[in-house]
Amino acid sequence: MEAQRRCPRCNAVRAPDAPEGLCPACLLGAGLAAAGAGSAAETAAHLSAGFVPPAVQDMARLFPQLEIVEFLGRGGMSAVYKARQPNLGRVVAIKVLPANLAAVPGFAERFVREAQALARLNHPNIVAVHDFGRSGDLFYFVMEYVDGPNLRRRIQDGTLTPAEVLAIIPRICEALQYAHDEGVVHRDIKPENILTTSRGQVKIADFGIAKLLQVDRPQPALTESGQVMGTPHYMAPEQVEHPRQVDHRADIYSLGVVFYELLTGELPLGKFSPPSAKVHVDLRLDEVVLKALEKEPERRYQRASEMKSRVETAATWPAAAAGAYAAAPFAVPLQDGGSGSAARAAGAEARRVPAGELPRLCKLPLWGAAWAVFGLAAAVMFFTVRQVEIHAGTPPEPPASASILKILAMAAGIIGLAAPVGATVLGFLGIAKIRASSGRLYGMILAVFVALLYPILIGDAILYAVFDAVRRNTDLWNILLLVWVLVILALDWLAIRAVWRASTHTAGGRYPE
Amino acid sequence: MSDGSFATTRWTVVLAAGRRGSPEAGAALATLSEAYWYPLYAYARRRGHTPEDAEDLTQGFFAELLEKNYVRSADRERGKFRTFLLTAFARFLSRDYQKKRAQKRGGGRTPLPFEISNAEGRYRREPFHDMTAEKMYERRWALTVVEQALARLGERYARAGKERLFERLKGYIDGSGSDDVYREAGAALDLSEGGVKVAVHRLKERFRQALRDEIAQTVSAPEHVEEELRHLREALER
Repeated sequence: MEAQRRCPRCNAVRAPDAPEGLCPACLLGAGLAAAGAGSAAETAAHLSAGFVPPAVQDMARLFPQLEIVEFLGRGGMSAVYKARQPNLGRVVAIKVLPANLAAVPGFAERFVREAQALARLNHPNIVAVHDFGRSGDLFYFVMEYVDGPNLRRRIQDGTLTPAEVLAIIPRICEALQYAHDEGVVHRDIKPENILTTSRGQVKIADFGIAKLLQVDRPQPALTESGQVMGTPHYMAPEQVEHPRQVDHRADIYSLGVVFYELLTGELPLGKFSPPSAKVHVDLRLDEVVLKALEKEPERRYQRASEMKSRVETAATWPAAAAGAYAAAPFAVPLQDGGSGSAARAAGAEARRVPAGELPRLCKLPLWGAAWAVFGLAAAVMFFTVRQVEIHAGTPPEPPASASILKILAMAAGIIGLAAPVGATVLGFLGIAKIRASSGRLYGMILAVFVALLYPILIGDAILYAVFDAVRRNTDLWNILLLVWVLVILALDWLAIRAVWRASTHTAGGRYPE
Repeated sequence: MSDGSFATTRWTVVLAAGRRGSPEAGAALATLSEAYWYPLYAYARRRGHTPEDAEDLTQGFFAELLEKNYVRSADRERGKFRTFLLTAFARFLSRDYQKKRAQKRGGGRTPLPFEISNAEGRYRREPFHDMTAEKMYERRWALTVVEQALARLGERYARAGKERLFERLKGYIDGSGSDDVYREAGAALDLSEGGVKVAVHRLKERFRQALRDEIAQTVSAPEHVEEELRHLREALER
């Protein structure tokens, strides 16, 4: 997709036919925010409107204690420069905020308060804040310099492997958990804010900056736009609706979005499919992503560490499956993926099976089938023997050795008698198990067959017997018998269809549509 | 928008009239249809119908809808005009005889109270011919809502004799303005930079209102406005 056609503010694709050349996504967003935040909410987006990052020479003048090396880039509300601290001999990054923040009453105090909290964060996966302050009208942070691309760049380059993604996410979880324990919520987790070093480390940047810049007190004099701070795609629903009630679980939501994007290359917008429907990933990762993306904070992971351990479990066990998809090309759509053709060939039911793990036959219905057959055989034998006895008249005195056979036959008879109940129960258990396996087990047809065999046989027999009891041996009654048999067969068919539908209908339907 | 004004929005009038219909409901449905026929055309085209067929089907569908002048109770539960229109249209398309009817074009059909014109010209300018028909419909719908809101707002400014102000400043409703452009606009409009900022601020506020009012016309309860806004914004992202 061409980058130049995207709106610089919301990143939505901007169509050449957009009304009046305006960005419709921004316009709709403006309508949205009006209800949530109220028009009194001041925004950094507004504050930074017209924010021109200082030139390198100006920066050098403002920060004589630093050697400003180069301009690294700008976000919506800040600019970052690479600099050297000559006395320490280290390279740092310096981030400056828009000058007009200085005019916002109370901002200076808040800046100090927040910056102190950020400077206290000391974690290998969090970009360290070395210093902060104000120079002229510019508020600034001196931070650890990270010499690698951020995840946005990595996504665009297509250089991320699934194995790397599964290594990165737990590190982010650790960093978040640490910060949350320190009482700091990031509020703006997105690929741009997750940096990777040349040595493969992950570092989260801009902790708490979103909160710092979210001027959420009324600022009537400056109020222009009712937009809510943050990056809309990655924001938890409550960040839009109740910005004041946001807690650490908003970060977990945003991380869920990032995770989804890293796995699938897409954002989880609208009615999105679970990652495994798009790429070959472990099913348990679907659960992790979907749980992180729950609308209600109460239903998400309550702690980042919880999410971390779920990801790690899925990443390391089973080793075979993890290895198989780590080797697969990253973010390959299912339909033109180069690997996992066996799983694809196995059909729709196998669609959700993680690569490297072929669906297995569910054993329960097999046992049920065996039991059912045994029961039927026992019944046939019983009737045959009875017929023989009736025809032979009084049987001859049995030899003594026959009593063992008799006991065995009785045992077989009891097991056979239990078959209608046993086989049916095993059949239904099999259905439940196959349904719950989301494609890891197959054998639904056998399970439904076993589950219904005896209920239908017995049902048919009863219906037939009812008719037989009232029947007279006339032509009319013989025709009625034929009709009755057809009715019974129709009922059987309806019953089979109903059970089949109920068994297969919601398979995989536990995902949000 | 206050809740009081909500009771009289077009879609609620249509829904309230129910099966029996009413002149007001008919008029409301016609107004809504006039504003929102194009997304359906785009949908039909994306479903693979030729330009002629798509136009004919769109026309035929609205003719039938307006002729019947009511919305089936099952559809009413769907709540939003947008979803109603798409489901009803999809059903209309799937009816076999429609194919035949489409062939003997124009025969004995009630004329529409509005004109379906230049549909294919617009469709050719659609930037995304690779999206699904549903997605295209939703995207088109979202843009139509914005267009409608802008048009209503423009009319309001024109009534107040502030057409020039609106024309000059409407480009900044999405927040794209900066001090420089405001200064420039101020020079053109004979306003101070501060004056322009205030004017843009009001314009944004009024647009927001117009947008919410426009969406309110198409949903059945005030609490759905927010949800619909959110949905439409998502439809624009891909």
